[in-house]
Amino acid sequence: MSDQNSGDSLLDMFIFETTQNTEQLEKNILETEKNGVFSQSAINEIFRIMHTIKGSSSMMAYSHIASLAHKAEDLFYFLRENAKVSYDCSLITDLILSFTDYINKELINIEEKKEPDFNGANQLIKKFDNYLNELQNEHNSELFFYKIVIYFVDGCKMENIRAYSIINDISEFSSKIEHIPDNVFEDDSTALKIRDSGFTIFFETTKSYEEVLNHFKQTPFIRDFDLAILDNHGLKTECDVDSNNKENAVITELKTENHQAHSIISINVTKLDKLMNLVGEAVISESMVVENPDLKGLELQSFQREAQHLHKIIVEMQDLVMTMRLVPIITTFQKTHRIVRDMSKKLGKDVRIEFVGEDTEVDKNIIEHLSDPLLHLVRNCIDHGLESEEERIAAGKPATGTITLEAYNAGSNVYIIVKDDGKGLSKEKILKRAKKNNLLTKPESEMSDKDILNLIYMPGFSTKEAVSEYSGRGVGMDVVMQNIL
Amino acid sequence: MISVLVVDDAAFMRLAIKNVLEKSGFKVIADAKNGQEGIEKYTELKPDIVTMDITMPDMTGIEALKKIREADQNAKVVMISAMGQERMVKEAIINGAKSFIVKPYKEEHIVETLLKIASDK
Repeated sequence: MSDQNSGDSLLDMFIFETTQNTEQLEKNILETEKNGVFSQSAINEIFRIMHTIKGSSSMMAYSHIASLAHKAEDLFYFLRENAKVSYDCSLITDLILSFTDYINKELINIEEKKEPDFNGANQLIKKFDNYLNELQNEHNSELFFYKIVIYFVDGCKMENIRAYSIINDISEFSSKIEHIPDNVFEDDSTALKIRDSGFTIFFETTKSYEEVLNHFKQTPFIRDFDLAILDNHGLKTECDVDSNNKENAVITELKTENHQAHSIISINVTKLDKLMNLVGEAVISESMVVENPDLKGLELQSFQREAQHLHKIIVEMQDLVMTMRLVPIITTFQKTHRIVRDMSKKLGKDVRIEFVGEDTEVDKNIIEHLSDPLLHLVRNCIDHGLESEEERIAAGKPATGTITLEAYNAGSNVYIIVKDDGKGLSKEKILKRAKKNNLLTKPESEMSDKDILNLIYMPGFSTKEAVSEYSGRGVGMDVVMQNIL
Repeated sequence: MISVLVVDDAAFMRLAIKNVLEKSGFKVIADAKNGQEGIEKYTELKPDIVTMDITMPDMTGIEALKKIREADQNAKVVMISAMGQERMVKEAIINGAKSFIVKPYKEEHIVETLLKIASDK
């Protein structure tokens, strides 16, 4: 019945599912990076995806992918079990992104039946190993939690500022400090409270009890103090992330839950195409039946009524099949998050991307051809359009550049707008460049503004002085044009 | 013996601090009547500790503190402040003052503070 043997369909399933998993992973990690902290549920989710990838790739006997996923899983296992460890969110994001990049590349290799890239896997495993070791070492250099209540010498005055001074000293060897009262620096009335009930500090450090004791013995104006070591799971778990970050993490948690509420199954596109063809055939065949010459001259009341009913059903089916191929453009828009992140990091520009009308539905075939030009346009926006932070501030713009992707339906067309709040196109620069590269087709004086602007769609056109990682080869806008037309 | 430089615009205060310290075994190796003179004497004599008045004409104690700390990261400076100068004292601490003493002070406060700070590496 099926023209595929079971081994191949298993492979298809593996590739399909793993691609989805890496996409999901990328989405999760980029969202998390924005918050600067991995929420427990984000860690669990990432851990789960790693675990799935590991399981299915080892089933398919791709041991290099499996062992890489295993390493990545180790890292998140460690983060999950040691909630208090402090980590570098953007470094982990980099690691995970290179992980998904690698897996996607390997999936293509598998599809094209090419040699797997064992070396790449080993290098990545080493990177994961290194960072995990680093985290473990930091974690193992034991941290102690201290509580100290300090009473200052009677009549020493400005107790709140003395308290501030002490915090200042402690901050040299502790990164986590909380104290009561907490606003000693701003609020001079806290001096009284400290005089009456002392100054209480909780802090964390690798210093031993002896060292800490000596430190306070040498601090002037302390009359008396009470130093205690708290056990590891003492009072301090709450200050791991500041409350702001925590709130954000909770919000994203809620968001992901909402997303999961959609129940969607994936269908092979060829099946959909077949269905569409069949419906098309049904439309033709219906009219062949209804308009059949054999029926000519016959009085067929009941037949006509039923035929009309059939017609209605078929039209409805046709509409439905068309919409089944429609996918919201958001998935394509979301691919730009990655490029925005990578480029803004490399070029040192702060860039924000905004979506408008991301629920607009577009035919699957069109979507597939949209993503390359869209990514290219976004790349152009960041590299050419948006100015550096200094330039933006000098021009009275907000330091963060904004790129807007907008989609909307108008009649039978879908409009997609890529917009940035950068410096725009420079006609002089375009003309100069075009002349240099001999791209002018008519005398300069006859060129209208539109002609000049259209030059950017010529193959080989670039205003960039030097080729960079992102642009400058003049391959770009012509490709965008080709893809779209 | 711990060497001290006393910077204060009031001659009375310079003398008072000097008396207290010498009585307790410190060596006041010099005094200065304004910030600029304080900086010069510090660079020349490298005392273990400086006591620095905050309000002085021409150059405030905080400016002098900054300059001294710029030249010598390990300089130990104790500010001498009057009541109501919270804001200035905060600034001094941010700029690396080791401690501060509020006038009118008790003699033993000065002695104890300077002893502790001198023993701190």
